[in-house]
Amino acid sequence: MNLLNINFNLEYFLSRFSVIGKFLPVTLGIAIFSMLIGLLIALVIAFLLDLKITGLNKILRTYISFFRGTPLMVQLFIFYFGFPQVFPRLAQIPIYIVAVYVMSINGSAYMSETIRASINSVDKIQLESALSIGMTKYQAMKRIILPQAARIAIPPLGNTFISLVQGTAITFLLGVKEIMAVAKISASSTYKFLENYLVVGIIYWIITLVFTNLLNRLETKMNKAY
Amino acid sequence: MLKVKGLYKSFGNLDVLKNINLNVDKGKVVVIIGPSGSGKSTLLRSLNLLEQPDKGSIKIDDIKIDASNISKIDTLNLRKSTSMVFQHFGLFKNKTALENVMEGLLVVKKIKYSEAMKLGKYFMDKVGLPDKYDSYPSQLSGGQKQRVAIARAMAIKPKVMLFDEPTSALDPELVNEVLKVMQNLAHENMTMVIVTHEMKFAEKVADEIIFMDKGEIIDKGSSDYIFYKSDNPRINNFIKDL
Ligand SMILES: Nc1ncnc2c1ncn2[C@@H]1O[C@H](COP(=O)(O)OP(=O)(O)OP(=O)(O)O)[C@@H](O)[C@H]1O
Ligand SMILES: [Mg+2]
Repeated sequence: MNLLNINFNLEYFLSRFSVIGKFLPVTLGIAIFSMLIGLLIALVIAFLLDLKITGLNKILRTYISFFRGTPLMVQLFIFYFGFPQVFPRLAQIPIYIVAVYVMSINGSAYMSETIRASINSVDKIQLESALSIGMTKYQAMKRIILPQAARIAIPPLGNTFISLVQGTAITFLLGVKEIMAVAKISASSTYKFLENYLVVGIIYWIITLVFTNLLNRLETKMNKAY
Repeated sequence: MLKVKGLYKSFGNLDVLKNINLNVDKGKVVVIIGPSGSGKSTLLRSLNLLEQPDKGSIKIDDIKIDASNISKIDTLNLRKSTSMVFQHFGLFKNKTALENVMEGLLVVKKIKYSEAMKLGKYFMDKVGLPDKYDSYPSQLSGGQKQRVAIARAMAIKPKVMLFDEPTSALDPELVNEVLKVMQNLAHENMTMVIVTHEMKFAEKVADEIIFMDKGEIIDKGSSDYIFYKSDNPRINNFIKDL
């Protein structure tokens, strides 16, 4: 189809959704694993920071500052291309794994801050009330503070997930075959740049919309509780 | 029953408690009064180990705590036998009123759920809130919140209840419903240490009134003595200014 002489092949464009979409599981897989592992690391960091050990806190603060203060792409390059130069055995780690662990680390830097801020936003007197009737700090955290913090943390954690999904687009630079990589390869070989990149853009957009919608529903549901 | 000996506490180089000695017999109500910043809250919080005293000892029946060496077990035991009612309620916002009262029963006393529910309702009824079991704190008035907080503190069957200005954050018209509940507790011979600015109430319920200033107990005695007979100028000034 060549309407009004515009160089845009609609049929080709539409057909790309299924071709590129086939690789959606790779994109989502990397994002979801990064999110889960990142969340775990973030919880550990938040817990360690709370111990208030001066030396350890400095190290953790530096970690957070570095991974928030540098582009994800640079981090991926350092880990994937840089480190194997010094530790050759690292070169054997599959790219998917490297992508997941770099993105986990990146996400953890943001999420540890989110977690800390959410815990701090639950008023301290609830913790004191719990302690004052003989609950341990662990019991108080688990039953009173963390459930409330979780509710506060959900919107910013959702945003981190969206960033991670979009961040997966860069992993094609390492050779990960996800939706962006497929779009790029087809675009270069057919010169149909707009069709391919538009399709991949729309797919990212739809993921974000669907996820945001789920998140909003979750939030409304949780807000109803109290 | 409650014996405090030589208690000291400082924040940085600010000495907030200086050699506090205090005895409260079983079933007695002790009211602490004194100017702002005199250390009343810090004293109560130390009795519950929300603040760690620097020196001195606290004894409740057979639980003995020495400030020089406070173990986790001691801390838990002491907290199980004292409970605190705060000025700003501190209700668990993710739990209903009834669940707030049940929490300590389930988690601290390890009572099984159905039994805890029964007890929880009993204490909710006791503070006059039989119709608010399922309300969340955000749905309660200040006076109701404080009554739930008192029910929660009563539920663990403490040996001593500590109250830190329980009515100071309340609208004036809600003060009485809370004082009424406390008065009932006094009649049931609950041992209580109360910090309050409600002097009429203090006069009514106190077996002993303690006057604190600048981290020290300046004087103590019956309400009749403190309010009308003491010739200590600091006390007279404080009372005159109320
Ligand atoms: N956590 C803390 N860190 C530093 N200083 C504190 C802390 N808690 C209390 N203080 C200080 O200790 C002193 C006594 O405070 P406290 O709250 O015990 O007084 P209070 O008699 O309860 O006063 P009020 O009637 O205003 O409640 C005050 O000077 C206060 O600023
Ligand atoms: Mg105070």
